[in-house]
Amino acid sequence: MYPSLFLIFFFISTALFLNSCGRFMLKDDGVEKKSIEELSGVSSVKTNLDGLKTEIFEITQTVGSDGFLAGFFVVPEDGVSFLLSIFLGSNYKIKFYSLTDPDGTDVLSASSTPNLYEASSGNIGTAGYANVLVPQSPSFSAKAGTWTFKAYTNDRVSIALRTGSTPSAATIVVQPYITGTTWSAGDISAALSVMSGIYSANGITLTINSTITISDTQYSAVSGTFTDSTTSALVTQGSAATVNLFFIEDYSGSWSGILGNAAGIPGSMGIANSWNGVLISLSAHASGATLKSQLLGETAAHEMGHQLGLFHTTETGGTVFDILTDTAECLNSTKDFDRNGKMSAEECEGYGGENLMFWTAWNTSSRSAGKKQETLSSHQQHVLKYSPIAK
Amino acid sequence: MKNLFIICILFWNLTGITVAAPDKAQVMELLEGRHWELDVESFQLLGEDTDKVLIEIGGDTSLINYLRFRALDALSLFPTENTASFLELYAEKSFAPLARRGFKALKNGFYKTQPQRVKRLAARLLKHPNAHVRISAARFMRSEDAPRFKRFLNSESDSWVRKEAQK
Repeated sequence: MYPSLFLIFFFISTALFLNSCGRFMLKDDGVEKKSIEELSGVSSVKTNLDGLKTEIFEITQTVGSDGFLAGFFVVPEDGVSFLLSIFLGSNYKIKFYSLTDPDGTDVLSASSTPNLYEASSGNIGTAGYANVLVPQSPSFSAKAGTWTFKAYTNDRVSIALRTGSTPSAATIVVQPYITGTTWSAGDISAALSVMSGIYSANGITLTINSTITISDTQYSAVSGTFTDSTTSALVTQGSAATVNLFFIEDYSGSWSGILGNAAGIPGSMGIANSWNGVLISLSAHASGATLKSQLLGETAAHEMGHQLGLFHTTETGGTVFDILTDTAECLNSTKDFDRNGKMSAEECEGYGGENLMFWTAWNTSSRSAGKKQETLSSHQQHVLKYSPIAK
Repeated sequence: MKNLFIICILFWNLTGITVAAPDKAQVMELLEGRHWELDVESFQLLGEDTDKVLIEIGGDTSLINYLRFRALDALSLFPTENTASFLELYAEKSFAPLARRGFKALKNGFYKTQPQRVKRLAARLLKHPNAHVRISAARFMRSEDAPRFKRFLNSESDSWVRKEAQK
């Protein structure tokens, strides 16, 4: 009996051993068959965003001999886009030193073509949080292979990596919030329809969740600075997998003249934090007790465009323009008819004044005459369709 | 004599052009914009009577609020008695967003010349029913009158208001 048991034990052990060896001896399946975790220099922290083919990873960094923190991640063959984010507590200025694609091009260097030099917060540096979005124009792509970065002292680096098929359209989920007690969800529904219509006309479907009311009085008026403790506490309540629009009752402090502002160009995506949303002032858009829905919808759509990575097509002075090659530029030298150094939408009609991302809205009399800012160029649509927060 | 008369008329007209109040559209243009900042130089070029136009805009309830808000901000550049009275009235009697801006403009425009007037308004606003107006007044009072600020902290029932006031 014992010899039979020994033989059975021997055969089972041998089978298990050979099976294990076989696993080690298997041929490499290639990049496309491996999981993103296997391919990336990531820690175990990983989040799947509901309904999206976007995953969030924290990237392990090592200190190099040059003193920079360094890390890498691998974009698989079906990579669509990524947002590489860097964080530093206590809100000191933070940025990357370099970000090198699989072909060896540092996309943050002024000497590279194309580059995001001084166009990306991850290169310029901002307080507490900065990022690099790829693609932020059709000139860039989330190339498959290993990307490496060097960064200044930071707390952590994370990536929101979107995979899947090449997008020809996109759906983005929007989560509106209202603060204060003056207005309710019903008051902003017309503006949300305007915003949805603008995006729909440009090939982007918005799924707008039910508005959440945050009635705590402390959030009814907040600073437009996202590192302010109260603003941070408000915006951090935003959902991770959506674009969060905070319709605040009013701005506080020195932000009193602002209609809306985004947490960045782009802001954070996929992670609940202080930079994961935009602020829009309701009281600024009111006349008496009525909200001006067309302008409010345009402001919300404009700030959402920033949050997703779109710049102003033409900046105030008419000398600085976005990085896209198909958006109209309204030049100070030829269009500043009143010579006040500011390009109005009226002066730039036919030269980008109609674009949703023009730096300023039509003035009151133009709006009364029916002027709207609802257009996006093909390249602007490209950035939105490839967004890590889109599907 | 005739020539002298013509020159006088011409001079009178030119003088009239330079001191006349700007028209409303001209002022409104400086209040427009999605991302707005107070353009001190452009407003000062408009002339002395600009305060009257800004007061008209600030008080026009038919206008969209961002124009009214900005008009109040711009009034800080024209520290006349009319301006002070208007800002005090709005700081105390208007809805909270306008009240805060009224106080802010009075503070910015009159603190150097009439600090006691600003302080008296701040003291009254410490009892305002809107928490954010109280916070604005308390932040000013913190540097102006420490004992009164301390009394405010002791009497303020909302802990978040006390925290914000000390930011």
